[in-house]
Amino acid sequence: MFDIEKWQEIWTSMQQHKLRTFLTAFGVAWSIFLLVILLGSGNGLKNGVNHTFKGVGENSIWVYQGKTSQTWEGQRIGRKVEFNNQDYARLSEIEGVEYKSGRYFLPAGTAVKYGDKNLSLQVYCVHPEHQLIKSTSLLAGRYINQLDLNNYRKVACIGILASYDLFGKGVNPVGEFIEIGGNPFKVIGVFKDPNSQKEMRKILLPVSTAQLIYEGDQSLDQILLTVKHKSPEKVDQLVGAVREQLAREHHFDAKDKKAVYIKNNFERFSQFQDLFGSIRIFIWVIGIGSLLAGIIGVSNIMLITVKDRTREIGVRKALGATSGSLISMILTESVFLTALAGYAGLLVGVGLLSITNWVMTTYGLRPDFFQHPEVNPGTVFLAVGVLIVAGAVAGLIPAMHAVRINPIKAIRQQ
Amino acid sequence: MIELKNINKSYSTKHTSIQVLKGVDVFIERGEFVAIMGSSGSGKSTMLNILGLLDDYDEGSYYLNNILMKHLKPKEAAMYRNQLIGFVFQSFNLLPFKSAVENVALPLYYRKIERKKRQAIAMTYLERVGLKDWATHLPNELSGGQQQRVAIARALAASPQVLLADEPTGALDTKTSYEIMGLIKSINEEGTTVLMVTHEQDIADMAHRIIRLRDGLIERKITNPVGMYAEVLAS
Repeated sequence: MFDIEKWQEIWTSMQQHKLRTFLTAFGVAWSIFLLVILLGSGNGLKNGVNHTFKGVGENSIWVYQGKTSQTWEGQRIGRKVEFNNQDYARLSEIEGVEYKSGRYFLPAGTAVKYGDKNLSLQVYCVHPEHQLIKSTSLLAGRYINQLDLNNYRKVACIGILASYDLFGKGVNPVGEFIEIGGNPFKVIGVFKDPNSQKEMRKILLPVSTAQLIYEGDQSLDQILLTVKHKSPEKVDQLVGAVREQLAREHHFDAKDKKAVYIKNNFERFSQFQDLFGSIRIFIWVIGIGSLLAGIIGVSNIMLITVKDRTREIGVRKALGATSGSLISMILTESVFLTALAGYAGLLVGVGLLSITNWVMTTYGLRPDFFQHPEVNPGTVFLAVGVLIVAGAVAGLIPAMHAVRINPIKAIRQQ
Repeated sequence: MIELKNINKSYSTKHTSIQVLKGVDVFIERGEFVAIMGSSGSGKSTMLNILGLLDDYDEGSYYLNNILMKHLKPKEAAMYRNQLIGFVFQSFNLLPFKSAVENVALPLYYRKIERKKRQAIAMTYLERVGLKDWATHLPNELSGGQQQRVAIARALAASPQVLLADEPTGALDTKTSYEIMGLIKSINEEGTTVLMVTHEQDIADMAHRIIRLRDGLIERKITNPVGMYAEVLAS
């Protein structure tokens, strides 16, 4: 029931000590503001990392060709290790591999032509599962598929930015022919990659077709794999197996890290995850700490209020106020003060984060490790809940004090 | 109306235990006007606390309105205080941020009477003490005598059976004191039992009967020459 009298009294009590009430409220508002800003920034860091790793595939392993740095089976140092389709096939069979794709790059500067446009775009020749590794999505048409590879089809799937460059905006290029290094390819699809601008300026061809047309051999520049089980042990095992397999095939020391270079994104991602996990815990500890300081502030003020009003409480008791009504009055005041101040802090904090986010988005500020600072609704509700509990806790000791007041003593006290 | 039988009360501190009341017997009939006198430390505050249901006692029995008041739960005590007893204090103790009429309405608030009705009842009692025109004034805008009148109106607002007055004239000058006593007397004449603690003989003399406390015992009972009631109990 809405008890107007009670609220009038709370209002009066707060009005009587405006500065005191304001300072207390400010303490609570500030602590919640800090908590929100800290959590929002923490989320910004997390989003930034997630975003950065989405682009490369957070559970992917990239295998690059290298040069031997140790002798092996009587062979000299500095031999180049070159991958081919057989390596791709062997690595695909390793236990725990989820998706796999070879990559074969056309030389930089390969001309890509459409009509009178003559551009130099990156051309990657890949397997169908390349899409799953890079988690790109299609805007039109389809991706490279196995039939393209089997039949050496001269087809191309192009990034949306490459499409803009070649065909202009608002044109569906599917079905058009483009010329790549002197050979016509039919555009079969357009893809986008929300995580990488660079990726969207690429042109993808079936690896088998490209090998046949441009090199006439079976060489690959890179092999990309993703792991099925996202546990550090399994990933390490898989990396070891990849290394051993390639060492056997290409006759180098499996311990020679320079013969093949393996970029383990899962490991890097986990490290970042752990780091940011720790940062988040740290943030919560600081946040709760400052909130605790706020609560103690409120509790203190309420205690002073109760002491100030000892006589009044005594009179109320004499007039028939129950302990319950006194506790309710003090708790309500405390919760009200905390909740109101906390809510203000929350609003200002969320507002500041939103503005930051807006500015960053509008002006295209997208640092790799800080994006979309935000607090999710769950956190906000949690914070509000914490505030109400905090207010109640803050009012508890003062309320208990009030109940113990002896009316006659209180009234006679000058 | 009020019956105290062999009331014992002691307060214990860490090291000692002080017996404040050592077997007090008092009987007060409905409609009586009794003054309680005694030097400080005689136990009159303790007795007032017990009578006002603000404190419990160790031994004996206390009947108020034929109900045994012993080991009451805080909630019950609060209810009986609200319904049976009206308090008037030496220093008025009006809530400073509430107007006269709001102060008078306070006991009715604790009786959970609706706001508008509260205000209406409070107004009639303010009228009764002659302060109808001052209803919206805050206590600090009133004189001492007016404040005590408001306090009396507040004590009466819940139409109690007993009015407990703790040095009601202690903070007032003689002229005002007499005016306030006149008011209390007229309330008594309308049927409310009045118990008044005082240390001023002339004020006590206005009661029907004086009970004198010394060292936790009733010293003697003096029937006021002008009183209507005879001494009832011998200790």
